Amino acid sequence: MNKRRSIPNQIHLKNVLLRDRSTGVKDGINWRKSEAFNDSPGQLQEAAHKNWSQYFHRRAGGKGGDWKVILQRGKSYTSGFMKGVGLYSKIIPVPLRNTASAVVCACNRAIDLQSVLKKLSILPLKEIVVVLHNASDEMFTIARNYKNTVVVHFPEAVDPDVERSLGAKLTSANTLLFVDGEQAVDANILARFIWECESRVDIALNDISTRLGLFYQRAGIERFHEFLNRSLNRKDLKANSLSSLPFALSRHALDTMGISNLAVPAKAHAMAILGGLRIGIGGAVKSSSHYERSASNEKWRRAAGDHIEAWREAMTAQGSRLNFADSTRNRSVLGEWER
Amino acid sequence: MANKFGKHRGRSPLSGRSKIARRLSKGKQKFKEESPNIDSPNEQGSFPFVSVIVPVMNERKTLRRVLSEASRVHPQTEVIVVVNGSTDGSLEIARKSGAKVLMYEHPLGHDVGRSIGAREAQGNILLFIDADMVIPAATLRAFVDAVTQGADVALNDYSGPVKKFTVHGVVLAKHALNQLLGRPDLEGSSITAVPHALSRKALDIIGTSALSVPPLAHTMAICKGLNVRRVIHVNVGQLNPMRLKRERKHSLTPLIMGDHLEAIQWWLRKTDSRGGYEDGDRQRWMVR
Repeated sequence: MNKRRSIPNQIHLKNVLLRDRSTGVKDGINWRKSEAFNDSPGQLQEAAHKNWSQYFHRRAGGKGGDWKVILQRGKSYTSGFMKGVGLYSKIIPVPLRNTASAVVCACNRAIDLQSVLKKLSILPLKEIVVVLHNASDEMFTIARNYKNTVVVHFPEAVDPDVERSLGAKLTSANTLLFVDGEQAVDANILARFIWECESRVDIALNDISTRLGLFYQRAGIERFHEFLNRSLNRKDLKANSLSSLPFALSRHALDTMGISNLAVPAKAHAMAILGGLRIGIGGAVKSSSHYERSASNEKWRRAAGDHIEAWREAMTAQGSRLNFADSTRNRSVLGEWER
Repeated sequence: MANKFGKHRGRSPLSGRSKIARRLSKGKQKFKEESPNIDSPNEQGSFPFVSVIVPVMNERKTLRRVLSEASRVHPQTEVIVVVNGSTDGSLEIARKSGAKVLMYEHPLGHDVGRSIGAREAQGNILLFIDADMVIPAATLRAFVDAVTQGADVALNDYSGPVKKFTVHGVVLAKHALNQLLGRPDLEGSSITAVPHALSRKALDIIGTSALSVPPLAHTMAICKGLNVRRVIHVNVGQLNPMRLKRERKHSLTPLIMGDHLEAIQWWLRKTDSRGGYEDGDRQRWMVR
């Protein structure tokens, strides 16, 4: 049954991909002939992204659809485009209506930063905000080597959560992708975070829950995340939260939560739910630093404090029991309460 | 208050209120509600060492056996039965057992009976059990012994089913609260679950009222530095098919989730905005 249906679908998809490609070739030739043409790879990438976005939103069927198909079509179109131009540069296309930027908080390993930026450089990003502290000359050179980076440097170590929120302040893009500066993630995967945030949700989270194992094997911090979600009636989010990179935020999300609140991720997360933002999943990335983070005592205490702040925020808005009222106990028989 | 916005399963608070209003117009029923009938067997001047508190609401089937086990926990035991909203003859069973019986015509609500019973208790050690679950006296004795040996709060070492990807809301709440209170070693053990025993000192510090909201009592005990520990494992999940049936019909999960939040809120009020946890070297002033 399934097989039968999928054959015509595949033939259909093949035709669509061929059509996208030939349109791409045509558009590539036109761009080459136009005044905007410039043979730098950066210009080529930008033109390919831009043309694909325009084509997708105007003619190629628009909005929704399966991300895998959209990505495939984008690749088909842009490879045609480059063929038409006669030059090649690797990109991962995401059809954007608005602008997207990335925020990277680098730790002090040049190799990591290099590979993270390499992945980001093939995405349709207006800017890549690189936040550095105590950086070596090498780190600076790497960060500056990419065409669209904005580099911020602090002479002293700054907390990564604070750095992220500072980085977010420096860009005006509509969609912000936050990535880990230590861990390079495949651009195909990151692309979906951007796309989800562009098309469907205000916040695209990393789905770490499937990797956590059975409940009793998990670190204590995950219990906070999961209970916070559940206490805010978002059981579906499991243990996923703004505490785990990567994630993407819309401008609307940033405005609702307040950029400065990003410095306390759990609180920002609660505010996002309370603010009625659309929160979904952007993909599943195995985060190495995530486990490292769960380990130490200091990190645990900090997460506890962060979650207390988050609940405090929620309780200010919804009362001490949130949406879980006690309507059955006869408390009047109890007399005095230790309050 | 938040209470207005909750999910009401079963009776709505409005219908409850109108019933009370009706009763009030009939007569002086309200006072009967607030000061219960106390049925107490003659005491021979000896003070009990252990007070066993058993809230009862229509639990005729198991009550006789529960009370019989309870009375054998210690040579000097008083059993306090808080019968509320019972229409199935539980009251008669309780009276015949020789226990001290407190009677409320209307249901008091989940765990309020624990507070009422504790208020009347005279023992040095208070043992809390439920009426729908027969636990052998020898098992119950372990909780009493733990308090005799210096524990203030002796908990059932029961964490619920945790070898799962998605656990029950109550199991999650208990684990999260213990972790938040810096007691991950307690896992999912909590005053919420029976059996558990309290020292007189614990009762004085927590107060009887808070026992109606067990996660709150649990939080108070830990925050006030009482000796809280797990004793032995009594699988109350398995013992309780009746409860499973009730849970499907009228879930207590939202109530218990709310109780945990109320506990967190109490803690928040007693400490600072971070529950006493330091902020580390996060330079918040840098982002405004």
